[in-house]
Parts: sequence; structure tokens; C-alpha cells
Amino acid sequence: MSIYTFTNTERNNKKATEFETKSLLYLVGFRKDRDQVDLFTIDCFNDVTGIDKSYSELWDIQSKNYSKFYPKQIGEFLFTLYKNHISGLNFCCLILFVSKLNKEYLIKENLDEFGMDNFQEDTRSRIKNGLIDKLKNNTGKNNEEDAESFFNKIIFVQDSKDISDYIKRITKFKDRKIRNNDFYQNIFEEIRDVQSAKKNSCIENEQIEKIEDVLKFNRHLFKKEIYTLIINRVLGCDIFEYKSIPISFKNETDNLDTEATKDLIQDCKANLARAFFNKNSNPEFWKVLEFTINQFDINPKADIYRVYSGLESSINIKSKHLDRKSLLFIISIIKDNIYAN
Amino acid sequence: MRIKKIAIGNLREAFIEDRLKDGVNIIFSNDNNKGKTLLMQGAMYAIGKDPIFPESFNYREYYFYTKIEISGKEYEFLRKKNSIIVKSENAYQICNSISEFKHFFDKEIYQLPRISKDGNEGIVAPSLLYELFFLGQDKRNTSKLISAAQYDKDDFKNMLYSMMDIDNVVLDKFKERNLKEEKIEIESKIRSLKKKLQTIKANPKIAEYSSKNINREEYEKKKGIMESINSDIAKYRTEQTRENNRKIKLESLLFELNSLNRFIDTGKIKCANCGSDKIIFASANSEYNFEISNMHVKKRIIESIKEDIKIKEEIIEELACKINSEQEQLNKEIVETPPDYRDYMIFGEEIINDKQIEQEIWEANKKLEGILEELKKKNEEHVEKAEQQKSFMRNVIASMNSIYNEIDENGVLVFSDIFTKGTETYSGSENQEFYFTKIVSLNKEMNHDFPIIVDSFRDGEIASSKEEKMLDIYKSLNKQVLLTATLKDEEYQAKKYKADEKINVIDYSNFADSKILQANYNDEFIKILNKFETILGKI
Repeated sequence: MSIYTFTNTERNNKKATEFETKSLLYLVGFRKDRDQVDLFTIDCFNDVTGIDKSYSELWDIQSKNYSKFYPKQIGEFLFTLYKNHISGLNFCCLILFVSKLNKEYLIKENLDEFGMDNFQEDTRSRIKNGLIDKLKNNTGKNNEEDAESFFNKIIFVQDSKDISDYIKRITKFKDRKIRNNDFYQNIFEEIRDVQSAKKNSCIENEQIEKIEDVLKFNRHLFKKEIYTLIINRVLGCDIFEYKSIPISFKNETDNLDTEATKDLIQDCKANLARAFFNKNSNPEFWKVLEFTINQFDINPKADIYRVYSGLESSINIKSKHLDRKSLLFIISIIKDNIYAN
Repeated sequence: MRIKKIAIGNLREAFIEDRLKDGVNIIFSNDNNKGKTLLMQGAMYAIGKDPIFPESFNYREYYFYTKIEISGKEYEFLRKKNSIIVKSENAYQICNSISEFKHFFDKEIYQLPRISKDGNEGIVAPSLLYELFFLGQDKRNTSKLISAAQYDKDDFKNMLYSMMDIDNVVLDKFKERNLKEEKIEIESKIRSLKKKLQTIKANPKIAEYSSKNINREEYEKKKGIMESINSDIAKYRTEQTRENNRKIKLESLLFELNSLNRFIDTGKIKCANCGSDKIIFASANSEYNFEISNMHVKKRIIESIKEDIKIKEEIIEELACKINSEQEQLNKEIVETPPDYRDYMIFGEEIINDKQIEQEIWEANKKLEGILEELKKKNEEHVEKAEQQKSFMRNVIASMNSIYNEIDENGVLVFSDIFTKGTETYSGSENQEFYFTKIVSLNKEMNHDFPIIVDSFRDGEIASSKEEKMLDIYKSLNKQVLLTATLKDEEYQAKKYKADEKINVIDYSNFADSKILQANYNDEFIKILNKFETILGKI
């Protein structure tokens, strides 16, 4: 016999966070103009907002994961996006990221990405009314005219992909290995957890003058961090699996006999395994990877000794495991196994 | 897999063959001794096969090079003695033993089949795999394997089953009891021999026996041989010690990593919202958002280290086998010493007994452990797999018989296995027909990725009509087929094969007798060696 039933609790929080992560990864990997986006803010302007390198343009995403949407409700969900549209900041792209919509609402039901014109006539007008009514209730004004330019700009994105698809899509290099879903799931969850932790601070009623001021709240993630994360996980999983000596590392082994070469390679791998396990080397090792990846991004054929001397002069490496040879080894692996593909 | 280029040579003489194509290739000459066999054996030797070369050819003085394409990637192999360098597009690997080579091959190039032998599951040596598609000219015997000395025909069948994913081990139920009895026997033998040794040691004067009657020259020769064996043993021991050190280092690394990885067992902090156990403290200045690794990465590293340790164990064991065999050789030398060298004899007796016992115990224990493990593991799935294996073998044999009837309508042979019984070895054209049907049927039933290579494919005076049918079948396989043949004068004059567009013919008749290796290939060959640059000094 039940006495009281809990209802209206936030049971969907995990799913909602996951959906916000999907929308962030959509911005990283699926948009045509994805290369222009440099960093993302979490829960500042909206659930997720992409920003370009010069802090002049914003990609705004509101995400909603419901099993069923009513047209009027869709209109109401556009409220924050609309507010941003008229805010005076340069929002170049406004996106409502949703789970699969009822196909009867749509003209071309299979499109993943579309504007208002893909809604059936009556659905379209009910969506418009949904937003206009909400605006009236909140501001007391009739904003119908302003709303029209907003409706021409807004983009709807339907999520139809698995978590692993989002991660695979943003793996920049050609991964030779077939990895199981756990591998992608784990990376996805790590991004989700970081994204979720970003919301723990309070910024309600804070003000900014310029877009770049948003960095002071530490609610942002750089795109390169996500790339580095993925390369890092691939390296971590494979470090003992690489059975060959990378060709770029050859100079280091030229003067050694076979036995000494084998010892050296094993020592390097052991040191790197320690770096992956030791939390104390966390920031240092991240810097090393980020710096190296950045160098090969600029020039995939960069000389490993140049990369190493750049590393030495820009990062103060204290961890004794990250010695010269081990660093040259990981630089060679990144060059030969990740960038050579 | 496709063979694209073969080369053999050293700095004085060389030969390079790069005219091989897809489909059927026939290398022929109007006489023997033109180097066809050397080329075929050399190609396979470079990719890890056991050596079968003519006695007169000192293969240890040459480099063997083969370039292959497998699964869309190219690999170049360069072998001298037991060292092989493998070069791919952006990496190279030096393997100093065939065991090391096979692990590398298995991991990076093509996954080799696994079979159970003496109770341990292991990767097969390349030589056994090559029996599937390579048929040499010499040492043919339809009742056994040609190369791959450490394997027998059951191992070959088990390899086929493994490749077809129907592997299992047929067990002899009485083996366990027999082995236990054998062990007890050896244990009592050890006891009695130890007593004997003690007696020898208790009487040191025996060892001081004078050697003045010994022929000095003979003595020095004998001493030289023994010293060379001893130095080999010392070399293997050093290698074994280094591998062992590496293994110990990996084991302690594993321990170290596990201790860095320990969770607090008393409880975990969880996010009340989403249930995640990854809670991070978000400081305002935190530079890096992500952890340096996750559980998945850590688990993978630990697994890989464990795998590496296992490989090291195998290499150490292989070295132990080598040391044992050198030791046996040493003991043999000691036994063969003339009666005059009695001091050697007395000393030798001690070594022989000692080592023999150790060897026997080692082998028996290993066998026993293996069988016990095997019994436990395989008993249940045994029946079903055995049925699948029988059916596979039936299909292969049926195919052999049908192909045989196709090429020899009046033939009287009926094949009942892929090897003949020890007492009925085929010879002449029957031998050739048997091998032909076998190699083609295995290809048909397994649809494997390898080429077909037959050195001297008409050995045994195959009739022309049969040969034509065989060639038609080879052509229908739609894969690379490398054949060699020695033509009779009239066939050569009639330009046999040349009319067939589907066959790539390569004529070796112009080479002088036994002179396939020539100085005019040297420059090209040195270019090949140069590709391996400084690594070369290490083999």
C-alpha cells in the first residue's frame, strides 16, 4: 500500500546532461562551419554556446530531449534563443537540438538539419504562436515583427546518432584499429562529466561587457582539449601495443645493439605507462601532449628533435619519468602513428 | 597475400626477380640448376620458413629479401641467418629469432593460427603455416610434413581447424595415467643417479687423471669444437638473462601501476545528480579539465603488460630449448672422445647423466602439466568440435578425389586423408597429383588469403593432357600462383606456355649453370639493402 508517491523530481538529469554533450559534439564534428568554432561555454548564454577564435561570433544551442513534443511547446523552447537573437551580441547561428520529432510535423522527415520551412504549414504556425504567446506573457509586448527575422534564422537539429558516432566523427586521424563501444562511451562520459561539473558555480546576474569576459567564469572548454583527450586515450590504450620501433625514433637506437634497443624501448614504454597512471604528472603530461599535437597540427612532418626542444623551452617538466628519451619516443609515436595516417 | 619481389645476394653477387604478377606465373628453363628452387626457397626463407637449400649453397652468407602485399599493405622482409628485419611504410622491426618474428608477424601483419601442443596453446611457427600453400621440390613425402621440424601432421590438421575456427584437441584418456607413471619412474631414476654422482665427486683423484698420452693435435681440435659450443651456450644464457631481466622489470612495473591505481575501498564519492563517480574540484584557475587517463586506458595498459610478460616467458623457454640442444651436442662430443681422453670421459659421464636427468624431468613435468590443463579445458566442447572437424576433413578429401578424377579420368587412386599412411608414400606422377589435389582442395575449402607456390609443378613426368587440366584449375583460382618447371628440349623449342595469355612466363634458360647469382645485379641489390640503412648492421 503506498502512502505517497514522489513525482516531478528531476529524474531526467542524467539524460539531459548527456543530450547537452551530444549537442556540444555536434558543434565540434558535424557542422560545415565547425572549423571556425574554437571554444565552448557551458550554461552561460545557453546550454552550449560555441565561440570563434577572435571572440566575435557565437553559435547558440538549446537542447531538449523529450520523447514527445507539441508544436506550441517547441515554440516556447525557442525563448532563450530568441532572447539571445535580440541581445546585441553577434549570434551567427541559433540551433534547437532535439530528439526525433513526430514525422507528421515535417515535410521532409529524414532531414537531420532544417529550418522553419520544413515544418507543415499548421505545425509551423503553432510553433510561431507558442513563442509569440510566451513573449507576450513574459514581456507584455507583441513581438511578432522581430520574431519573423528570428524564424528565418533558427535551425532545428534532430539527434539520430549513437554516442559512439559523435566521438568517431571528431577523431581527426585515421584510426587503424577497431575499438569497442566502451572505448567511445568512456570518452563521451568524461566529456559529459566535465561539462556537468562546469555548472557547479553560480553566475546568475553576473554581467559581461565583451564576449571574451566569459572566460573568467571558467565555464568553457577549448576544442583542442577535446582533440587532445581523444588522442591521449588512443595513445594510452595502445602504448604497449606498438610492437615496432617508430621510424622517427631511429636516431636514438642507431648506436645501440639489438638488446640495448629492446631495453630502451621497454623503459620508454614503462615510463609512459607510469605517466598515465600517476595523477601527479597530470598537468605536465597534458601540456606535453597538447604542445606536441599542436606542433604536428601545424606541420605533420615536423622534426621530433625540434618538437622536443620546443617542449623543453616552454614547459617546466619535473616528473622524472618524463625523461628525454621517453618524450622523444612519445613524440615519434604521435608523428608516425597518428599524423602519418 | 601476394609476392611482389624476391631478391637474394650479398655484396659479391645477387639476383632480383620483380616480374611476378597476379594470376598464374611460370618460371621455367630448358635445363636443371638454373636457380628456380633457390629463388622459391629463398622467397619463403625471407618470410620465416625453415631453410631447405641445396647442400652446396651456403645460405648463411646471403641476405634474402621478399616484398609482399597482405591485406592491402606492403611489407619488406630481409633475412640473414635467424635475424629478420621487417619494414613497413613507417616502421621497422628487428627480430633476432623466429619466435620473436612470429609474435611480431602475428601482432602486426597477419594473425597466425593457434594450436595446442603439449598442452600449451601457442602461435604456430610460420613454417607450419607455409605448408598450406607452399610445396618445395625437395624432401617431398606424402605421409608427413616437409618442413616445420617441430610439428607433426596432427599439428598441421589442428592448424587448419584453428583457421576454420573449429579447433579442439583430441585427447588420449590414458595419456595422463601413463605420464604420471613416467614421472614416478623418472623420480626414482634421479635418486639413483644422484647417488652415482655423489660417488664420483667423493673421489676427486679421478678428475686429476693425467693426460700425457693424449695426441696434442687431436686434443686441440676437440677442445676447439667444445669451446665453440660453450660460447654459444654462454651467448644464449646472456640473452636469456636479459629477457628475464625485462620480464622482471615488467612484473615490478605491473605491481607499481597497480598500487598507483588502488581505490579507497571504504566508499566512493558520487554525484547525487547524475550518479557519476568522477567528481572534480573545479578551481577558477584550473588549467586542464580532463584526467590524464581513464579506467579503460589503465585496464588496457595492464592487460598489454601482462601479454608482454607472457611473450617474454615464451622467448625465455625457447632459449632454454636452444641451450638444452647445444648442451646435448656438447655431451655427444664428449661421448665421442677417444678412449685415451679418459679424464674427459669421466668428466663427461657426470655431465651427461646430470643434464639428461634434468632434461627428462623438465620435459615430463611439462608434458604432464599440459595434459592436465588440457583435460580440464577441452573436455566439454570436445564432441561437437570433433564432428565439425570430421566434416571439414570429409569435404577436403571429397574435393581431392573429385579434382583427381577431373585431371586423371582413368586414375585408380582413392584418397582417404590429406596425408598418406607411412607405409604408402606416393612417388612419381602420383605424388605430384596428390599434392596438387591437396593444395587446391585446401584452398577451395578454406578460401585462404595466400598465394599458391609449387616448385617443380610437373615433377614426376606428368602427362601433357593432365598438365593442361592442372593449369586450367590453377587459372580458375583467381589468385597469385607461382610455379616452376624444367622443360624438355622439344617443349622449349615449341615455346610451350608462351601462347597462353593468362600465364605470365619467365624464362631462366639463359643463366649459366648454377650461376643465377650474378655481379650485374649488385647495384640494384645494394639499393635494396640501403633501404634498411643502419639497421642492417644489427643482423
